[in-house]
Amino acid sequence: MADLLSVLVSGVLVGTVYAYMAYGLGLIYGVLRVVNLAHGAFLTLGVYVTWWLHAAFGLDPLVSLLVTVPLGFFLGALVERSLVFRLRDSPPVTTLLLLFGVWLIVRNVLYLIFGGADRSLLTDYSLESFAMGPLAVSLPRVIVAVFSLLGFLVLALLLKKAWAGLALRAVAGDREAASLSGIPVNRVWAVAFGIGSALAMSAGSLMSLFYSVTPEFGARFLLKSFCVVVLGGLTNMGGILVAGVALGVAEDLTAFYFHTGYRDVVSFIVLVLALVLRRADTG
Amino acid sequence: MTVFGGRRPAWRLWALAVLAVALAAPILVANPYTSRLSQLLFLNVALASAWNLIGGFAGQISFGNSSLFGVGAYATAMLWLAGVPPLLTMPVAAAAAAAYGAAWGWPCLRLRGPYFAIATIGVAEATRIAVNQFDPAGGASGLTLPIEQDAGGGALYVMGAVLALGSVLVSDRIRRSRLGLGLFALREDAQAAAASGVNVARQQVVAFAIAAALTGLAGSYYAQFTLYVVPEKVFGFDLSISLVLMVLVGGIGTVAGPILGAAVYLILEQFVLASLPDIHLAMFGLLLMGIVLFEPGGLAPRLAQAGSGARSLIRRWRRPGGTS
Repeated sequence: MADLLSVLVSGVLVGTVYAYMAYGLGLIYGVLRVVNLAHGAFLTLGVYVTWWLHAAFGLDPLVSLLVTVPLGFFLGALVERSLVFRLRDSPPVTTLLLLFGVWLIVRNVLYLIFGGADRSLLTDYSLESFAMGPLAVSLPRVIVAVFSLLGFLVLALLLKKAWAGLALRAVAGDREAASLSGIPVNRVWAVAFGIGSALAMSAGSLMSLFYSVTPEFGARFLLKSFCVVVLGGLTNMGGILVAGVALGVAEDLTAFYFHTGYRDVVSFIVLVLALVLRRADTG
Repeated sequence: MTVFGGRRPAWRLWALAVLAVALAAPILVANPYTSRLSQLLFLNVALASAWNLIGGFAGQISFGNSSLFGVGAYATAMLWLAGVPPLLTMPVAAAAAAAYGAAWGWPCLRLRGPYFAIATIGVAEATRIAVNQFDPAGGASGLTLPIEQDAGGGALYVMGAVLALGSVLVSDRIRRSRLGLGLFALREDAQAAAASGVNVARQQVVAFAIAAALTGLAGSYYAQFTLYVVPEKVFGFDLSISLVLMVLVGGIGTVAGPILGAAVYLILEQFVLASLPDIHLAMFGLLLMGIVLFEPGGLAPRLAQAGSGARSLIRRWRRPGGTS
């Protein structure tokens, strides 16, 4: 029983960061109607930048958020301005292929610089855990879950209260109407892509605390992000949080009851089911 | 973009030239490397033509064809190891791949555009991981096949040629058929197609099952000439990307495009990447971005221009002073 409970707790904690990692994808889709396959690239870049800052300067992964958030925003806005914007009138699949190209290039550059070996980032508290009743809870997972929730909260406030957030929501709702009421739609697009990418890169920082660092990191978590976003409803923050937690718990239960090797299959099956069922509802 | 594709004769000439070279080369230059190149080209032509049936004609970009290729390769490998002669395993490979394709195509093809593309990634990755864990099929280390004494390069050459030509003919046949018209209609506007009486769901699944059978046959063929199947390769994501690239480079939605793309891809892979293996992902990425940004129609329209340019030059040279 205690085993099952600790599996559930760990699933919930991981699920929170899943939701945080996925939200950028939903935001970009909501505002630009673009499926950002470069999301995987930003996740991976986040992990590597964090790992490198730790290896070279001993910077704590949580401190490196101060680097990955602005860097992610800048790189995301750059990709939008220089590439995505050119295809604004093309069918959505072309943008998907374009961003897929970006991801392939980033992956290759990371292989060239760092090689394909798995690396890991160990801090003083990486292996710490504390007792909560009969359960042993891993400290880094709690920290990451808390940061993810904080990130969600900040973003929710930004979208609700700030003018930029209002503009973002307006463009997501109706691009034409937003443009007619004087909202600079082009700039809003770049900002949305920037925020989405900043979320992805900072998620990489957080996740470096308990996942190994490889150029394939993004491949694994890009599809989980899709799964969460599709299951939760593209820009619905509450839905995405619930979906992230559900996926985290489902994966941990699968690993616990069946085989750890099947952990990643869960997300793919859920992804396909969610896509098929949700689209069937909406037509 | 021309709706019916492949109408301009210049593309076809180039494509036929490519096939003719692949057919003739091993006969003229009898060395193992040449026949290997021809076999790879046959394989790529078949795979790209099959991908194009649904990706090009119906506009449904699939990143999941590796799952069908892998099913074909594994069907042949497992039956062969159980004692069935390889040639007899081919219909089974085709049927197994078609069944698997129809099974996941049926729900997923109701999705369109980016949603379909993402769903196919999910299916392919789930399949790959599941096979990796499946010990009766050798798990992650794959299966090694016995080396045949009697069937040399000759049989494989004929088999490959039949496979490649067959795929192209099937593709051309579908393009002219009612099925093809339905697919083109739904590529342009799925709702309008459905409203004008195209059974959108069924047409797509039928086309996809045909594409899957061809892809499964190609997988079976691959197993027979590499004699080694391993999940990371035959179910690998790289295979699916390479198919998308071949067709985009050649000219999506045309019959000749996949042939041209397969040839360009083979040349890149064999001659450029062989010397620069470290940058193959980046090169694929750049190629993909370059085509999408600057040349969305692919090579085929360019070659058509080059062809008609050459033709008008010849005409002018024949009839000096003539207007054209």
